[in-house]
Amino acid sequence: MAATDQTYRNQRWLDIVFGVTCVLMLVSVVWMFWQDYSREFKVEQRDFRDVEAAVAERQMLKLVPDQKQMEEIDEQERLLAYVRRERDEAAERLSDELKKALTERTKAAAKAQELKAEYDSVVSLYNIAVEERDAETVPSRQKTLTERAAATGQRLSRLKEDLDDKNRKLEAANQEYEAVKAKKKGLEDAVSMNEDLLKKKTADFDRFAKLAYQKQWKFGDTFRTLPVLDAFSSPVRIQQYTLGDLPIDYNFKFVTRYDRCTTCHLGFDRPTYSKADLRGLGQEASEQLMAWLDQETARIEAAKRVEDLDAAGRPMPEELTGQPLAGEVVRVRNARKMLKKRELILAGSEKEKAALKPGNITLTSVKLGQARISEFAAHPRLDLFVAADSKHPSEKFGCTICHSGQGSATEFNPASHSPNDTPERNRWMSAHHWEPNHFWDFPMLPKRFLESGCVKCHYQVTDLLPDGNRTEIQDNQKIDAPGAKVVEGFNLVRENGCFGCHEIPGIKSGRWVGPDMRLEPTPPLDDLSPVDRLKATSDPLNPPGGFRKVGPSLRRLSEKTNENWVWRWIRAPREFRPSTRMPHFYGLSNNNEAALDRDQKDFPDAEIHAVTHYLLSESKSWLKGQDKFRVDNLARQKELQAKQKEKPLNEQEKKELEEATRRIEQSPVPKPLDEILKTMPPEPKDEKAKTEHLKHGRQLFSEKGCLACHQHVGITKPGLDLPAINSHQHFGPDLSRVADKLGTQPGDKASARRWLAQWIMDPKIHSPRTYMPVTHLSLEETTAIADWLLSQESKPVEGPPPMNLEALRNLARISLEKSMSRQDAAQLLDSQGLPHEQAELLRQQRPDADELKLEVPPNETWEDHLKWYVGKKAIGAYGCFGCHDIPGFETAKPIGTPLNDWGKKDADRLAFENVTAYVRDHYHFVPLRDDPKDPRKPDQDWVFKTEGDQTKAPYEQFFADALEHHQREGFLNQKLAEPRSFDFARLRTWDDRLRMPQFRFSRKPTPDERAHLSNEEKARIEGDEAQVERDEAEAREAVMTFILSLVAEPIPQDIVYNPTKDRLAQIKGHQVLDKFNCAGCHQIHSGDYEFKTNPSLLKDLEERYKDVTSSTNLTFANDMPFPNHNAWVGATPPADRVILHGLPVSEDPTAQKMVVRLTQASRFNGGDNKPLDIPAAEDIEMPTGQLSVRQDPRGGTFTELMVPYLIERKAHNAEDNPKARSALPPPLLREGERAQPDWLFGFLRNPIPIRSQHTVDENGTEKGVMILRMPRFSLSEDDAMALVNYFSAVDRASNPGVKLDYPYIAVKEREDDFLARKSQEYIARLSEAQIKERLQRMQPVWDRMLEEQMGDLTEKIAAAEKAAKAAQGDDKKTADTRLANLREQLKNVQGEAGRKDKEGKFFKAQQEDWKKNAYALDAFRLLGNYNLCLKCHPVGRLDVDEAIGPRLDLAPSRLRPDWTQRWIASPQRLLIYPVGQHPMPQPFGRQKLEYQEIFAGASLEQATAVRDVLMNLHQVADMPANRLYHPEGAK
Amino acid sequence: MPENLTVSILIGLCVFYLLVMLLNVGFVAYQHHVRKDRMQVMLWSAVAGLFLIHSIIYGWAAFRLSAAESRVTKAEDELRQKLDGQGGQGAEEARETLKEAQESLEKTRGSLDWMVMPHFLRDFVDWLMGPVTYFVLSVVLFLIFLRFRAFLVDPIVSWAFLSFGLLFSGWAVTDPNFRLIVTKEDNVPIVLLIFTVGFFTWLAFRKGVLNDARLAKGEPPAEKLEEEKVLVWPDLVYTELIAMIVMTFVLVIWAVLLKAPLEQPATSAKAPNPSKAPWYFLGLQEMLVYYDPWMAGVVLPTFIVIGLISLPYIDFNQKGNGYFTFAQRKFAVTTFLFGFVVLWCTLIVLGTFLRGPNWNFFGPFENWDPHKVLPLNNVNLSDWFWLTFGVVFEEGKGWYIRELPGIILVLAYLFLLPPLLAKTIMRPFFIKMGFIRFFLLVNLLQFMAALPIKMVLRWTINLKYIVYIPEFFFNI
Repeated sequence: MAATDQTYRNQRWLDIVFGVTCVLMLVSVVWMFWQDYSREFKVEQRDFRDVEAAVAERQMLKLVPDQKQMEEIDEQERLLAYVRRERDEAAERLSDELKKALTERTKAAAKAQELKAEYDSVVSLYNIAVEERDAETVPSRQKTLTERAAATGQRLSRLKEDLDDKNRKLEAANQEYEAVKAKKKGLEDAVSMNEDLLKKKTADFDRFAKLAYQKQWKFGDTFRTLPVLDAFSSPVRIQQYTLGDLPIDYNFKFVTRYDRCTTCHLGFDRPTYSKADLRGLGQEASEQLMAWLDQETARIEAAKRVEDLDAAGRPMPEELTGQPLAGEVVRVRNARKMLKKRELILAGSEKEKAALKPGNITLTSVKLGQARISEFAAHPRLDLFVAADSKHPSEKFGCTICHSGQGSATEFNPASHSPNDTPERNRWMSAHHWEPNHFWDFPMLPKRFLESGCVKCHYQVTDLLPDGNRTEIQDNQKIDAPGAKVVEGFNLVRENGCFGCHEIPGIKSGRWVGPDMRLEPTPPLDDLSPVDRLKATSDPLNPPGGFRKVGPSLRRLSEKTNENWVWRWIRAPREFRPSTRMPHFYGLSNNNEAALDRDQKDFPDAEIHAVTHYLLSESKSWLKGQDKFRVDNLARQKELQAKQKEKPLNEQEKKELEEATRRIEQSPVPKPLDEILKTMPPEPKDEKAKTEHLKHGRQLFSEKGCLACHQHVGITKPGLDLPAINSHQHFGPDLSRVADKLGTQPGDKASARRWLAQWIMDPKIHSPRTYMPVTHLSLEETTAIADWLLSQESKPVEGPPPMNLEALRNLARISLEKSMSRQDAAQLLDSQGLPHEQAELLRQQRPDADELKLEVPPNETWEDHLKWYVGKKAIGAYGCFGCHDIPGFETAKPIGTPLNDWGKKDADRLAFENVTAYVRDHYHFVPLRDDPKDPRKPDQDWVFKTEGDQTKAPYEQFFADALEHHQREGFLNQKLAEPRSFDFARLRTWDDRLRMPQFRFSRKPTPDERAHLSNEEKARIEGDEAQVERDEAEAREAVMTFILSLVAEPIPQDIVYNPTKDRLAQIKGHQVLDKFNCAGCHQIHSGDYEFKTNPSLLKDLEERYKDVTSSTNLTFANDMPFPNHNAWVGATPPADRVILHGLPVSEDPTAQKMVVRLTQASRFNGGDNKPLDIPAAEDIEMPTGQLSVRQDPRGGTFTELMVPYLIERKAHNAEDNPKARSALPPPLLREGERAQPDWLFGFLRNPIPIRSQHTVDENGTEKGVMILRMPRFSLSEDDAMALVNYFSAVDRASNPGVKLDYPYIAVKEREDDFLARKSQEYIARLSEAQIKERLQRMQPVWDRMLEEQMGDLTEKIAAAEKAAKAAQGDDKKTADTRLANLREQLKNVQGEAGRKDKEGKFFKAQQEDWKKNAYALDAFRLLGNYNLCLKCHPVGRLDVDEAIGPRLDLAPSRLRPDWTQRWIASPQRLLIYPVGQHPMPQPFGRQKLEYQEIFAGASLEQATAVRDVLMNLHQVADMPANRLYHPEGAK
Repeated sequence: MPENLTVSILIGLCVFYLLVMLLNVGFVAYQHHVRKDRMQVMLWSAVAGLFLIHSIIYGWAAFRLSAAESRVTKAEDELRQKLDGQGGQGAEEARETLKEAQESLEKTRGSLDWMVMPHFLRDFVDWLMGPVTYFVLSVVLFLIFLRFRAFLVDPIVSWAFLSFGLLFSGWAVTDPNFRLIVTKEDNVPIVLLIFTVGFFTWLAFRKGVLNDARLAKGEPPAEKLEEEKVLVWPDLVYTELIAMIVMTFVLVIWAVLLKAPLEQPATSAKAPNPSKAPWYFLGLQEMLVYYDPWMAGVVLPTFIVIGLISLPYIDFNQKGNGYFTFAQRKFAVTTFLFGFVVLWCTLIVLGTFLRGPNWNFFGPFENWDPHKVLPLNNVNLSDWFWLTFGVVFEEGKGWYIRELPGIILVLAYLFLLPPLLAKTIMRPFFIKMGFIRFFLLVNLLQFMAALPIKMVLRWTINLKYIVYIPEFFFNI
């Protein structure tokens, strides 16, 4: 067909189609632009701008000058107007003058210039003429030239004169000009200076006024944010931190971290964007108020002159003044007025004028929803985070390093926000269509797990909270200090011994990446020889673990208890003791009645029988040195040694031999208990003695410090003539039922008694690594305690049900089939024993195989061996050895998953199995756990709910969702709550089941377990069912926070928290304090109280200061000026805070007042910003409403418990509170300042009594002070060192002024010539009369010395006579000579003594000697004066009856010299205990000059002298003149 | 577990059925105006009504559910305000209201359960979509389609199929698992692919069938009736321009509506499960199940390319140029469609929708549980062969003897089969094509057939490899 012009399609249709598609495309493009325009962050930023404007406006309003400032500004303005007027007036005149001078100057300069040119030219002509002349040889010509030169020379000199003249004139004109100019400038300067001064007064206000103006939407801004145009220089843009140092770790690949969170969180670093402030932006003024404002504004706008403004306007009607925002509106009026005035007065740039237009102040209201407020609000605690001067500036850290989440995202969902609870999740779902983000492995941490982010850098964990219990107060509500939760989690993990099964090595590929929690090696480092210890610690990248197993050693179990108890205990520990830390292994969701198949029903009981048997029988063997481990090693050693004799061993064998030898050496055969404790004190026979004995036991138990760690229900009620005392401590086990568990046979009192007495005396024998100390009690005493404890029997333990042998066989079969064929196993079980030939074969292959134990020797039963075998397998499977030292498991390795990086474990690798169904079946879901009003109480819905015959426990919806979405949190929560529930409805063989036991971190039993408790035991559990489950959930959450924090991310060294030496010492020390429960007895830390100041508070403080420091206050008047006694020497405290370090004496919640006794001087800003110091030990009353941070004192629980008890008991020397306190463990506040480090180290390792111990002699006379003595803990060298450093570091940090050294110090007072130098000074100070008096006073001592010498010599002579008689030959000759000498000497001495004038050689020498030692001798007499030290302190040889103070001969090695001096001089400033410990009087007050006859000098000198002598006490006391000094009152 | 029905799903379905209704209204209009077939108009009006009813039901359900949900949200807000407010006054009441609202929401949810596709149907489809049935079914359907093409491509029949398919798809979307996989952004092209491939195949066959009928009557094909030449402008360029604009529009809208997710950088420690190739290579990836990577990834694709290049040289059939026909190009069309639709497209669909974690097979309504384990007891030919004779080879020794049966089989397949075919059923081809062209054709066909053959062997006798020489990493 031929081509035609006819088109194929209808053109009209095509055009229509084309048109439609074009429109569609346009629509799509517009849509695209709209999408871009409405991207989340752009919307946020545009909205934020309004917020910024509003906040700046509010800020500006806050800065509106008050009346006083206004007056100042007025004054300044007047001044400015004046100088301006002056300038303007002078301006015209000056400019005329300036003009004239300038003309003159220009003229003169022109003339001078002209002449200069001519002069220059003539100079050159002259030079040429001279040159020509000198070159000419023809004489006639030369002459002409000479003349010409001379003429030129003349002309030149004329010109020179002229030029000088002109130049002078020019200079004059110049000066004239400069002078006029300077005058003008002076006037200008005055103006600008005054302008500056004015500006300074209004700068802040202006700044915010301008900001408020800048942030308003103006045409340019609106234009630049238009769609499409916003691609170019838009005010909205993405903000980001680029963090090259903190990349995201993608396994061997590091990707730079970009954090764009601040694109939307725009107010995060601005302190003025607090939530309350943002909420306040929504307030609106009433119409009437605005109407009033409008009227006022109209008046202001109309003003033409400044004076018009000052005329009074219409006052605000009274009914409006009480309205909200009335004050703001007045401020707006004032601000407008001010701006108007400034507009009238000030002439700035046009732009500035525009910014300062009165109309700009409008009081705009910006209403923000809760979500927006959270989004725009400032980051909490800008002092810690985000701010550039904080510890975590956002520039360096970004956001996601702590919070996790997708930092690159600029939208809500992709950023991986995580809701904190179900209500929040629901809100997000409706507001943001929120859903879990599966495209990011590390979603943002929900608020409850936020602290998991801290451990990335804070490897010590406790460094987050070194002071233990800091509480911060925000809006009058207590909040936990940052870090509290993760530290609590760490402590729970430590206390519950999770690391026994789950290693947390903290090190990854050769670098530290997290906290290090590992078991210590067996045997522990402390038990190794120094060489072995060095070897063990030599590798810095693999140091030995440092955590002891948390359970007691079970090696000597057979001496302690019996089968019944062990069986019951393993079955359900919490049923025996509800508060135990030991978790449950049986009766859990995968091995309770309901969960087991029919043929497995008896497995658990049989297994427990087997474990019980293993533990007891292996313990017995171990005690005899016949445990399997030892026997195997001995056999191996013997075998290899025999082999060695025949031929040399290969490397492998050599190593084995070495290892076997080492093992044998390290486990010597122990001494059984009945050999250690052969005889026991008999039990009293008659009733009365028995009661007396029990009373003694109860008293010892109550008083000797047991209650610092333990509780016992038996002493919570009065009895046996003793008052009740109720401890709530649970560092050690609750001992209420201890009687029920002891005795090698059920009901065997004798063995129980023996064991318990020995245990209390020295627990290390039974369990070497226990934290329980050696108590220094005698056997009689411990027996009394034991007898009392055993008399408290509550209900005997039931015997176990009979064992099903078939079940045991089946259990054995399961294990056997793993190491041998089914057939062999069946045969073994049928023949009831391992056949001999099979045993031989096995011995060849695996000499230490457990199966060998199944070869039954003739006189033993098959059943026992089978039990042994099954028991060992079960212990191995459950990992009991992770917490207990069990014979046979010396080399076993932890059985659990290492937790080093569990926090970032891929959730796909977690076996969720069917747990969601389990949770749905067993729980009912609750949206909230805690009551929103009181977070420590459960929410109303958080209850147990009965549906049909099933009671369902509450379960937080949050975790149910997390389980549903397969998130780590969900898994972990359920794993910790019900570790075995993941086996729910799964097909599992017996040995394939989950094995993790069920802990209760809150140490309260589960509802099921409560059913087994007696009513009394139930009553001791705090809180009802719901509360218990809430507490458990909270504790669990703390543990989770810690585990989730373990991510093993390598963080650069300069970012990882690297504590200073002091801080590290504090952290380490704190860990040791926690480890040994030091705070159970001693007060360790005083409280810190931070108050926000206001003028009235400061005024009150100033009143108090005046009161304290008035001249009538004797305490202050007698104070010596020492840093930190009565003056603060720490860092300058912040201006808006008052920080008190002290102890709360009383607190009245209704009056909102508290009284704090200062332990350190406190500084605050008095009037005129003068720093004032209130000295230590003063009581200050403060309003609790102003508290912003409070940290109550830590420790001393036992003391607080004992004080009322001792008073009630009418204990010796404890009639009142202070006295009772001095009988109890002392507070350790400022201990570092007091004790010398090396002494403290020795004391901690081996404590000696310092103050007199309370004793009763046969007559019943009571003596001494202390009712108990510091026990000996098994502190390792490192532990002791850590404590020593801790005390020094704490005091160094809190009292930098006292300048403590540690770990070693030099005592300069002990230098050789120190006392001699002091004596010289002292003698120089004394008058003749004083010296004479002192010499006279020494006379009796010298007389006594002479007498002593005579006595000595007489004795020697007698001896020499005897010797001379006996001697023969040459010896006789020598002896005779010696005798003659002695007689001669005696004669001399007698002669000297006989002289009346006392002027002999001896006395001369003594006088000389006195002069050399006068200082020490006199000072020693201060010590020995009964009215001073000796009254309370024994001074070496000088003892007193009622010595209530510590022995002073400890002082030289114990006390730091500086502290000693401070103490002696002003003890009242260091007596800081709540109500005052037994007070030491102030011997030398500044104002009272006493004891001058003993030691002459000012009070401080006396005190110093006492200190100096104390530091050299042994040497000084041994001086002959002191040795014979016997003061009044001394024994 | 994702929820069964949410408000957005219900609204989506409402809109979907409304659109399908409109589609049918259009069809009715076509029948009314163009075909003027009253019977059809009645029928399709009824169908449109059916879709309208669906749409209304879903819309109503959406309304009820969203009302119940907003009641809960409101009650929650109320409670929160009360709690934040002074002393928690009225909190108790608000709590009660919230509880009531929650209960009524639960009730509403429960009352919507009947709208979800019944389980027996889902189970049946899941069963039907097992790997074997799926492939066999697609082959069978392909053959049925070829056989009954005349009936099946009739517009009324096809429309009926389409309408049923859309109805069913709508129901299927009520299942959360199906929804999850079908609505995934990445899988949208595949959904499009199903419809476009279907449509164009239908179009070609429809025209082919009509032409074949004409040819049978001795008339020229329909295309010959039209003009041979059209104008570059406007007929070509103008339409191209329009197409371009439409394409741009579609892409922009697509990009706006289905945003690319912001994912994390790839990490060596964690591979996504399942790891899937780009959608157009999913057919190749499916081959990996049956062949070694070098075979599935190198040899077979190479042959596909070679085959496509050599098509003009192999094709000896001069008929069918410039018009649609099936009858005149039975071999060519069948072979191409088998290769493209059955072996390529259906495998892509399979790989996209039916392959889940660990590359396991999942029915369209099955939950993709990564813990699902399927037995893999495949045996090598050599093992099977020698074990029947009781011979065991030591590992790594004597592979040439061990693998002899397989090698012989492969060689026979490659070199014995072509002459056999040339002698028998393909004799006409051999005569027409000559030796080289014939062998090329047959070899290409053999490589194409290799995949279904291996599949069948795997399914029937669990055959793993025909030749298994791990010593050289050589497996077939």
